[in-house]
Amino acid sequence: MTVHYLNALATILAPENLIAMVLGSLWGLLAGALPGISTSMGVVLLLSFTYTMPPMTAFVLLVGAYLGGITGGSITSILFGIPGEPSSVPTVIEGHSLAKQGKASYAMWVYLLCSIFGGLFSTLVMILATPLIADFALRFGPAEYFALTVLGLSVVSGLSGGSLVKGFLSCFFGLFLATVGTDGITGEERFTFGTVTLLGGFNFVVVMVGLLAVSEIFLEAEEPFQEYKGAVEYKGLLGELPPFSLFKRYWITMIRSPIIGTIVGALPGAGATIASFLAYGEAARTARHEPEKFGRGAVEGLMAAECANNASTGGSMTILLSLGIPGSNTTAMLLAAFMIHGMQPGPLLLSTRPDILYGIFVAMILTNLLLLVLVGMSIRLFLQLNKLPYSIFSATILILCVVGAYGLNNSMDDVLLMFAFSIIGYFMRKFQVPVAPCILGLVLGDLAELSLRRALLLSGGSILGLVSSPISAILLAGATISVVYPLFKKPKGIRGV
Amino acid sequence: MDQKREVGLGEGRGREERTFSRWKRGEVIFFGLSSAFFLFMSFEALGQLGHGRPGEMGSGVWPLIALSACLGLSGLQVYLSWKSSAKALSPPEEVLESKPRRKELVLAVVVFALYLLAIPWLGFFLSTFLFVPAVSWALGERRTRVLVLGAIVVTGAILGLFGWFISIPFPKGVGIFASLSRLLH
Amino acid sequence: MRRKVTLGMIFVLGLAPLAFADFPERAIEIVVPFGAGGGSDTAARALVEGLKPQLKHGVVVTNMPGGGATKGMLHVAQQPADGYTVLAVTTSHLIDAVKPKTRANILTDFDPLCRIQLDTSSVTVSGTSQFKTLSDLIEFGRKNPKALKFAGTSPGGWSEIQTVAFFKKVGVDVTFVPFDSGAEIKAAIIGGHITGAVEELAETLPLIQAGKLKSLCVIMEKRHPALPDVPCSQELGIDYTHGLMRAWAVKKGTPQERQKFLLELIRKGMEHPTYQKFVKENHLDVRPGFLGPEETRKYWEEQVEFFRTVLKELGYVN
Repeated sequence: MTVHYLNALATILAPENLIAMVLGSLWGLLAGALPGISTSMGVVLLLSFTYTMPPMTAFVLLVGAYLGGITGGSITSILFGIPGEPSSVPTVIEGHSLAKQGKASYAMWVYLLCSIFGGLFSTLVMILATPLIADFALRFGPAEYFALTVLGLSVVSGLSGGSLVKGFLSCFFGLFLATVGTDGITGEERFTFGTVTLLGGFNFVVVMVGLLAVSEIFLEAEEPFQEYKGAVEYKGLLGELPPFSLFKRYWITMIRSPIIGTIVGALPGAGATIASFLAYGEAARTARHEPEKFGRGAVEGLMAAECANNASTGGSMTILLSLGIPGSNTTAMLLAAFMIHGMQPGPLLLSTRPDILYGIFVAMILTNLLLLVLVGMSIRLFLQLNKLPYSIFSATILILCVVGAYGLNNSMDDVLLMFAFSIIGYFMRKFQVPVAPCILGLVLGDLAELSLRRALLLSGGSILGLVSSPISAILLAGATISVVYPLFKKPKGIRGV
Repeated sequence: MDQKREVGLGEGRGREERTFSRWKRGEVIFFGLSSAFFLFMSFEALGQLGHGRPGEMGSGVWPLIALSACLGLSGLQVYLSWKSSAKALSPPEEVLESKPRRKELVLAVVVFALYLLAIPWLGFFLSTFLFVPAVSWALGERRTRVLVLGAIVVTGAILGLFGWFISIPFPKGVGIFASLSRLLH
Repeated sequence: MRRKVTLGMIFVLGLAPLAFADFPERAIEIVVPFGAGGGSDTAARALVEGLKPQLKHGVVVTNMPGGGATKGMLHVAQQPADGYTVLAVTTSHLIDAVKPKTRANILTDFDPLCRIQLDTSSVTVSGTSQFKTLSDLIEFGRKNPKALKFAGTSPGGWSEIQTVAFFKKVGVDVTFVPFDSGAEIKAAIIGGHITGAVEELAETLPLIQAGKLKSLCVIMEKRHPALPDVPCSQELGIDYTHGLMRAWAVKKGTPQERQKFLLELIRKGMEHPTYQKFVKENHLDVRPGFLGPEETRKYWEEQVEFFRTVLKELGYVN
């Protein structure tokens, strides 16, 4: 065992592999951070270079890009309020709010430390408990997926801010938006009004960028002209490091979120985005310190989302390496890389190519540490962007939003939809309708509906099929309690309208 | 910048205005319009009832549940806003005087919309080059140096990063503009 | 309408000799109407590796997913017929031709360059399944209609058609349960949530070899070299050998010289070692995939007729 790890370490420390790791991570960070290009696209573009590489170098490069992409997605989220990756949407809500309050450096460090912690945590879980995670993930059938999404949706009251009516309205609006497009069970078109654009439904990056990032610029346009918004002088080389006591105070979130991330990341039907939303929602539901801050810069929400989305990498890799099933789009590319090099990930990998398996384990740990250094060193650099004149900064954000929406499918249709959502978002926020529940509904709605209908198909139409397994029964019970309980709880303080 | 006011992305704006009658009237109209929208969509969803595979609930049921909830909740909100608008005060003078910059808002939205419409015709890069100074001006920037430099630097950065490095296939525009875009690529 | 077309033809023909002088004078764009990383995308990108060394101005792959592969097709149909935009066609487009979702129709608006691959599917169940052979499965299915739950990816698309058409051939009525991705399906089969799936073999092969999944039958004329112990449909007396097709096409009206040029380009590209390696490792060479333009068109027309009858039986079209 130890010999394997030492061998793997020795291979990876070879100069060409180290260079591949640095280049892969940098490329991943860039692909993740830039709105027009997703992590999986970033990995695809690298894939064609790996045809001629030795397998180990290829995997070090691709793993670097994968982890870098998931990590990089949050940089633009915090600085510009545009999600570089769908999985960093909660980061936009909490992280960018913090940045607007002049705490960009603080938010960046919290995000970075939590990301790396989540990434390392899940890598270790993967190394130590692969069979356990894989077995648990396989128990998730349609009924369990449905229960999981219901639990996720049940946190809506925690995200509703002042008014429960508006919070639930926003959530159901999101659920409705999720049904637009081709129905995944019958193949029928719903609410498309004959347009090709809507056949695929609303991509939630489009909705999210419109509702949050663009509408934010419009709302700011109304406010008195200010110069150098958010620009704050930082002391020291590294910026404002969060104190250790912060992580101690939120230790429950720090433990729970990576676990959620690892498990949900291992589910082929879920992935990083749902993982980060579930962890974020759990943090909002159970927040003991400052629950009122959710939606306007809650450090705890930022921590939960970041721990979880990076932890999903370990879960996703677990299921790929142990079963050959990709848990996400990006790991599907890694599967393609295995194929290109004539290997098949799965139960046989341990016996056929232990060097590759252990090599990937070691590479994931080292890449996480490398990312800490790479991003950590550049935080101050990123913060310089805030010194751009406010008007130019806003123009840049708008352009990045356009690029982000366009890059999804290389189509202007998505950009126009984004514009429509920015107008909706402007009025929603003007009239105090919280946006987070809507995005939650959109993210979980499709999986919820389709899983429910699949479960019904499997059980022959019987509702009892939904609670026949212990996992789904427990998840649904938890969801019921969390919806019913706050309705009878007396409102605290001055949160109500 | 007021550091103490913790306004976040997850919530709305206009908190200062919230108690005034003018704002409540706007709320009634907004939620009234949403109710109408959800009602229309519900009719659309009704048409899908009964389409499905044997054993499951079909295409129409889930959207209809979501839409009925939306309809009910926005209807309820219309009632709540209407009720509280009766109690609301007329805005005091200093609020009326510190109007939000409506002109800047409308200008910014219009410029952004024009930009999106121009992209397919002028190509992405030329439109972006024109958009940067236009929207900055709309947002209140009046320094020529910032407008010109901003246009050059931002367009250059976007062109370099997205056009050359990542080579996203942006719209090239038509006619002479297409040749210009090809030249830039 | 007709006049417009004629005028367009004259215009194109008039320009053709001039433009042909040095085609291509810029990068050729391959539009893949699916997201990055899927089967069609990887196949297209592997072939593009073979084209790159032949072209001075290069070749780019553009992913344009959406609308069940119709959005990318519509896009190509709206580009000039100059041979610079090539569509990666799959069986999905042939199914769409039965009842087109958009104004574009693969049969009437495109000229096939060639068929590139013909994939093989297999009937796959869990490794621990009670069904040891296909006849076990068929026997159980005939006794218990609708009790067998088979998963697939596209409702009303290729995945459902091949599942239902295959089982109809053997007289079994199965319940088709649509999922979002092949990965979910594999997890659901191994986890015991569904009976099995009729899926492309290349995707499931590693799990079959590891014993997590079991193939009861490969759907083709002969046994599959990677699974010599698994019977093929033909030898079991089932007259059903359809597979997933991948082809490349250009917009109708593209000058013949350019079509020939592109065809030669692809033919050479398919001999490139990178592509050959890809095809070998994914077992895409088990059935001869390449068909010239005329044969491809004929094959397309036959397939569309087949899909029309199946979709009629399923009630998707009248």
